[in-house]
Amino acid sequence: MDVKEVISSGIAELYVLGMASEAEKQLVEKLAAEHPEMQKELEEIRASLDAYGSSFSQTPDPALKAKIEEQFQAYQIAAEQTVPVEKKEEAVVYRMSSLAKYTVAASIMLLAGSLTLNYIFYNKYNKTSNELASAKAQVEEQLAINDEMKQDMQIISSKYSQAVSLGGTERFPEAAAKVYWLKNTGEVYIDPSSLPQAPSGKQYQLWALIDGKPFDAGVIEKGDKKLHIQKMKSFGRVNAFAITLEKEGGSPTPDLEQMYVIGNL
Amino acid sequence: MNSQLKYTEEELVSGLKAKDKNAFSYLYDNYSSVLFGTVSRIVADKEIANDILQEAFVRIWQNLDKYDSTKGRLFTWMLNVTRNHAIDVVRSKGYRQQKMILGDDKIVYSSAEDNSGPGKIDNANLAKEIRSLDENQQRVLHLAYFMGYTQEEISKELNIPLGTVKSRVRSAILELRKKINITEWM
Repeated sequence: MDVKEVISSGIAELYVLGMASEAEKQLVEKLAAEHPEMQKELEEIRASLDAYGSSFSQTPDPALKAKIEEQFQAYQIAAEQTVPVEKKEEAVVYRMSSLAKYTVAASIMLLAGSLTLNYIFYNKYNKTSNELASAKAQVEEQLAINDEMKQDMQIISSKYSQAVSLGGTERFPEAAAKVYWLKNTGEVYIDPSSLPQAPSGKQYQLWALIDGKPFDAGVIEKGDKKLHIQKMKSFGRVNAFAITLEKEGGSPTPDLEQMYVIGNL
Repeated sequence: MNSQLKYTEEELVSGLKAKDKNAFSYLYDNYSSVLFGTVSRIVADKEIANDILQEAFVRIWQNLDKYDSTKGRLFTWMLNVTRNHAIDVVRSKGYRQQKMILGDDKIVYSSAEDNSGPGKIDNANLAKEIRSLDENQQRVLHLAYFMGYTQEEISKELNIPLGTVKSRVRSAILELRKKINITEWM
């Protein structure tokens, strides 16, 4: 295959992405070494992918930089402790008794062993403390999820809670949702976990139907906290609930074409 | 960010090898947003993403000797180190178990949420352009570039023939190159 054919085949792109087979890899590298055209192609692909990656930039946790610098410092201290001191001056030779020789040899070995162990333990300690920190973070996350679930359960199991199943409409038979209406306070909670993912730029909105008129009951949060039930606006008296798909932020009146689910009390 | 101090890539590499603090500070200020953006495309959870970035910087710092400037730019190398670590985490058992509890996160075709970080390029315009790529091209780029999928894995995931993967990757990158040329003039 000549350069032009290879370039138009898509192999160059696969090569830069690290997806090429061994044979393709060798072919591209050989051509790149011989033809500036191929080199230029690879450069441009690389630059475009770099730009692609850069375009998703996001700022990390502001505290992270200091954390990493601290970690480096710890590594460096550990490394410095194990670096043997260089000998510069010519040493004066003393004669020693053989017992003294063994003693000195033994202590040097002990010292070297101890330094090595220091280094190993220090690294282990660092690794363990990192692992501990990430385990802790995971536990905290789970506890937070537990808390949220507990709150959800309290609402669902309250003796005043009336569960309303919202079934899919003709156009969206698969959709479903559940509303919990607290008779004593009028609070309304929604469990949207059986609704399809809202497309970007759109958001679900809950409506309370009272005497045939729709009242805005709030928009349903997007995101990954789908297990969690969400508090909506309160109503003292409701005949039915319905959910429509609206533009992000909600609408003053429902788009009935986009009604996903409805359910009577 | 210390904007007075500028490094060429070569100076930066030798500074880092000498464990110079200022060099690291420069490195962090200039690349952390891009790298964090990359991690965030792979791992939805912000806290885990921050942990991954921290470990990635440690690896970059410790493995700098392995970086070969004749094989490509420092940025590309760092991106690979970071991406590989993130992918390792995502494919690890512990992470998958946790993900099953939290529910699947879908690929969202939103782009950069914040462009305030110092990027290599002004990426607000480019982000907009990339969002205008067709969905098939975005998907294939996401899987190949961020998720490190093989051709076979992409073919399975997108349910397209193996041969189509190659041509789709090429057309997506060609489109990307066009968009970049456009934004350079904007």
